[in-house]
Amino acid sequence: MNAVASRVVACAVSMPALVAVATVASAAGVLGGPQAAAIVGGVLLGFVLPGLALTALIVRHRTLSAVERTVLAPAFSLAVLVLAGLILQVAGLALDRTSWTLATGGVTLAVLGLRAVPRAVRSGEEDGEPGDARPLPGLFAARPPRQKVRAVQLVRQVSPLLLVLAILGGAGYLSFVGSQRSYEVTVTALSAAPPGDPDAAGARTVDLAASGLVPADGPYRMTVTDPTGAQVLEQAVPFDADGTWRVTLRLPSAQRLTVSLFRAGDTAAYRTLSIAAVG
Amino acid sequence: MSDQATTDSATEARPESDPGPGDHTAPLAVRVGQPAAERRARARGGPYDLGHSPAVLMVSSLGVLLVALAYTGGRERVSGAMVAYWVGQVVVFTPVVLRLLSRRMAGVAESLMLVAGLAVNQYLLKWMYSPDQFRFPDELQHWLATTVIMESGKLFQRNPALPPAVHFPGLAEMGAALALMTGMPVTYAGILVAGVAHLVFVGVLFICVLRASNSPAVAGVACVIYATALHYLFFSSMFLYQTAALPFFMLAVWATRRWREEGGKPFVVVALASIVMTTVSHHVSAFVLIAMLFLLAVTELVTDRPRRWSALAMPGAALVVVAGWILLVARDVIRYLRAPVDQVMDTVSLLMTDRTDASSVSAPVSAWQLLLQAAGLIGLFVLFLAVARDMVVRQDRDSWRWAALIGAGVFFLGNGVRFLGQNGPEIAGRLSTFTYIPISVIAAVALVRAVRIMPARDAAGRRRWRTPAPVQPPPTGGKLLLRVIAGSALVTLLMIGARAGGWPPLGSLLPGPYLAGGFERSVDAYGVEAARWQRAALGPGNRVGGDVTSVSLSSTYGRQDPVREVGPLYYANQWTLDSEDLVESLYLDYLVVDWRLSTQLPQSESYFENDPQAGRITQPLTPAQLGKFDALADVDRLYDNGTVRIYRMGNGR
Repeated sequence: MNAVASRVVACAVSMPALVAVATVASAAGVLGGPQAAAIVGGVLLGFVLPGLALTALIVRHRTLSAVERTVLAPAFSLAVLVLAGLILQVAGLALDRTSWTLATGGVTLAVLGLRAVPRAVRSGEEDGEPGDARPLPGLFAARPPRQKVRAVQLVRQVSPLLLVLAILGGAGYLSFVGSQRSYEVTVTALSAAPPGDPDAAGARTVDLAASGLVPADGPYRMTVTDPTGAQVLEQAVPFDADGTWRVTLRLPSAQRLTVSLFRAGDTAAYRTLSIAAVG
Repeated sequence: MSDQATTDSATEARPESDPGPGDHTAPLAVRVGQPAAERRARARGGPYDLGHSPAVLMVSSLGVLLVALAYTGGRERVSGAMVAYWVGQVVVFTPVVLRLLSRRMAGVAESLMLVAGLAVNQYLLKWMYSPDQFRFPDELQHWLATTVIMESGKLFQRNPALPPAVHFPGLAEMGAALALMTGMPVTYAGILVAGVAHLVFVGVLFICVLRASNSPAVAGVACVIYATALHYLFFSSMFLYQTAALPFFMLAVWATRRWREEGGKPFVVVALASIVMTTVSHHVSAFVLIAMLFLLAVTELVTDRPRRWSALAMPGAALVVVAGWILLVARDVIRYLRAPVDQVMDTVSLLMTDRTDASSVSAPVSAWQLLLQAAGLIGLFVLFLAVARDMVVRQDRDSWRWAALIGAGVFFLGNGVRFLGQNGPEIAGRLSTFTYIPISVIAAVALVRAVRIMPARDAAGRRRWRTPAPVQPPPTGGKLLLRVIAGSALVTLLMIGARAGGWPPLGSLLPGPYLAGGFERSVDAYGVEAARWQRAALGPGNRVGGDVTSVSLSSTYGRQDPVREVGPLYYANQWTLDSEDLVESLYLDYLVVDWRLSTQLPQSESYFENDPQAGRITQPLTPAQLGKFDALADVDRLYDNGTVRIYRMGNGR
């Protein structure tokens, strides 16, 4: 009884079974889970699971080192993303979260299914090919006795890597915060949408906007002047909590006009636009 | 691991014919290909013994922290930041090299750990330069390509920022798929995709060299030497389509190697899939892959007996796949690639006739920078000559080593391109992405196997240049220490030369405030806000001109159609009929003017793409040159943020 139970457990926790469970869980996380589950699931489906399954299928009868297997898994996964996208495109399907999740998850499960087919019923068996019989030299030679990893040794060697991760995390955080801080600057802009055509009365509509307005610099005012410097319009610029202001003006189209934004106490314009005459 | 799989440790059982670790009687040609000369060919603690790699990587990570501090210092203009940067670069790199050359490694696991750890650390150096957003123009172009796929749900959609990339969607697909599945922004998905692709590339390079050399040390040293390629730290790890192609480029080579060694359909499948992946990801990588596979095939046909003509099958298949893709899908790439080739040819022609023009002028390089790079190149050349002489006198029959030697020769020839005009350094750098692979392998063989640069003297005191030297035992004690230090110094020198002559340019090695013509350093909130306004207020697809950065931002964040030939409009002191004609001929709708161009000289020797004054700019643009657009009666100034102004030209109406 114990032997049967052991075999069941061994089968249940075998690599293909784990990959299949992880694939279904990842797909569920991407399609229906919270953001954290989607990130974990998406990363696994994008970089790991399809490649693991494909490596196990494609090169299952070939001599492959652990290093090669480690490298092939993400490479094959990336290839699945690209080739699945091309196939979806040719099939006329939209490339979205659902299609890509189903494609990567489907490929993984299908490959695992193919791998589960017994050798005897598979065509193209390669066990008898001459290449397989050729002994590989040196590091790649077959090594029947399997060496165990000593837990103590592993812990001793891997633990410094936690410190490495901490140092790298600290360095990354420092750079991220520094970069964001250096980018953060209030950009005050005055802009106008391209003016439309003049109406029958010779006027045209101009949509003006200002952004990045700062309370400390206020109150702001806006003026419109003609080419001689004569003021056509002046008005206050009340702005929202997010520092933006919008107004639509009807302005004469026959003259080139200058729109200026002033801060409190400014005698020279802080920002300036010019609207060319039409007609 | 399946029962067919072998372990990757040096503890594996050796075939009887294999020389053991203490066997120094094997000829050098054998030693080049076998791990016999390594002092510790048997791992101490089993196949997963990481040796001292965790400790070495801990020291290396302190270098990452130093560079992070240097970057912060650069952003805040702290003095001494540049010193911290260079010290950090050395601390990141050199301990790994020392360990790999030490002949005391535990085995493959340690070597791979060191190589992968270094790749991660160096990718972090790249990422930390601009961790929160893409700033380099090419990265922004691919950010747009990815975003367009996410928005449209389709491939092959128009991308005015980089039209040829439309037909090479590999990277954008990876980025879009990950962003869609995880819900992350494209920027973070892109950073992750580029990082994984970069790491996979290094991993495949490692297993490729490991297969060819059968030596973890040679594989590790080849990878760290490759990390000194000019573009390794940036162009080969940025969110660019080349980054997506490189792992499959190497994977095709690896699978071909295994197929030639062992036969079998699996490796043919992997090789063909890798060829397809390279082809749909990046044009130049696909072309070079054909050349690389042909080189491997030809060397095999020349050296191996009996001759197996099937060697030509894989390069033939690559030729068919790439030609099919170019002729049926990506026809526009031929025109795209013609421009830089024509420019190099024109420069060669001008040099032959002793004439010069703007495009034939190379950017000036400081004497110390030239000296540094020259010293590194000479070091590599000496190692190249040593291995070449050794292979010739021993009548080496290994086709892959000959292919590597020929490829390394092409590397030295390719270095000459850097002196051919304005784009010469960039073309040479991009070429070296591929040609640096074989020279890295050759140099690694020379350093690890201690190939003699000068042949030993015989009993009569003569050096035997043409006959194989008697096999010497591997150096130990002081000689070993000297070799390790000399080898590490050379590789570190190469790394410093690559950082100084690679990307970003020397003047913008550290992130910081705006620099005119500084690519990443030119992207700040003023330019980005102006570009976002263009998309919101003008709608997409208008023809917009400006300096390099303005055009880059307008075509990506702004979704506008970039016009890159507008330099003469800015350089003109007055608006003339020629200016009008140029606006008409370019169908120019809008012009972006960044007033900081009147306060700074361009870092890159040019303000504009196709700059007519490139390399000859001695003073910034004048306020009058930039302000003349305000005096044009039929031109609107529609945007002003105090730094960036946007004008609607006559054609914008």
